[in-house]
Amino acid sequence: MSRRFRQWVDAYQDQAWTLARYLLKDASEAEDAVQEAFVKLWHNRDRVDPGKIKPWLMRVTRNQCLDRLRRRKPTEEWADWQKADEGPGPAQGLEQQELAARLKHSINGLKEPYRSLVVLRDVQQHSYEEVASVLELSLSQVKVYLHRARKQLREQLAEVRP
Amino acid sequence: MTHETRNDISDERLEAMLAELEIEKAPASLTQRLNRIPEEHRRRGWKWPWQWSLAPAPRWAMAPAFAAVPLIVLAVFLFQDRGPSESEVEQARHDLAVAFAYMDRVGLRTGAEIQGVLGAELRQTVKQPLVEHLLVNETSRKEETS
Repeated sequence: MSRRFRQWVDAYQDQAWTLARYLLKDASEAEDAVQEAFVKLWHNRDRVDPGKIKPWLMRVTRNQCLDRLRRRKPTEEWADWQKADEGPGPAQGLEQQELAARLKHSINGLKEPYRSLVVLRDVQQHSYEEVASVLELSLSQVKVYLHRARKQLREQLAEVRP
Repeated sequence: MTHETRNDISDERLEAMLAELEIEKAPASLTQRLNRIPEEHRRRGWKWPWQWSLAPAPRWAMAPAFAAVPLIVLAVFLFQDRGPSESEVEQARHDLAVAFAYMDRVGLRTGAEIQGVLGAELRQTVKQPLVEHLLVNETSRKEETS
């Protein structure tokens, strides 16, 4: 069983980590949240439908993050975000890196559930059905909210040049 | 100083940009923590043998199961084939002898009281009409002779 669990770790840890990083913007807290989600997966490994491990894990990770955000003081909200942009990225041009950083910043300016929607659907490329399952929304809600989220992103990315 | 607003990011362009954002690789420290979970939580979750059978049962099944326990205990106690011990038989004999002795004494005393009350009553019942009869006969005889 633990071998299967390690397979789940290998398959889903990056996605859970990315979601937690986007939601919490704090590396150590994101690690804790992902660990708690995987601990829950371990305890519920016999109850979770093997075909739905990924959406189940992403939902639990997101709930862990939201719980932490609720407990957090308002001033802590933007604490760790800049560090995410300082790490080594893929071989991109400077302009693209700047754009990516701005995009990340804009995603983090979104409110829930828009932020999770964009991360799960547009960044991690989950299917609409999986996103609906993770966020416990209907398929039509997912599409409507995603449209609104993208509109907000476009507005935030709109550049004001002197 | 003039400002020009550029808002020309199409849906397709935005989706492409979002798709280009890489999924961050989980740090090695997190991977290590996650891989330790089975070992740590298996040890922590160790159960006694009597808990093994209860562990997989759903919660809704536990309440009736626990409610049935006193009923089962009571049923076993009531229906078990258990003969009385020697001391219990001896005690019962003693209690029975005391009870009979008491009943005997009460019977004698009650009999005496009944005898006392009914005896007087009976004597009175027989004597009264006889006296009255004799008095009537004596009066009529006196009237006839006079």
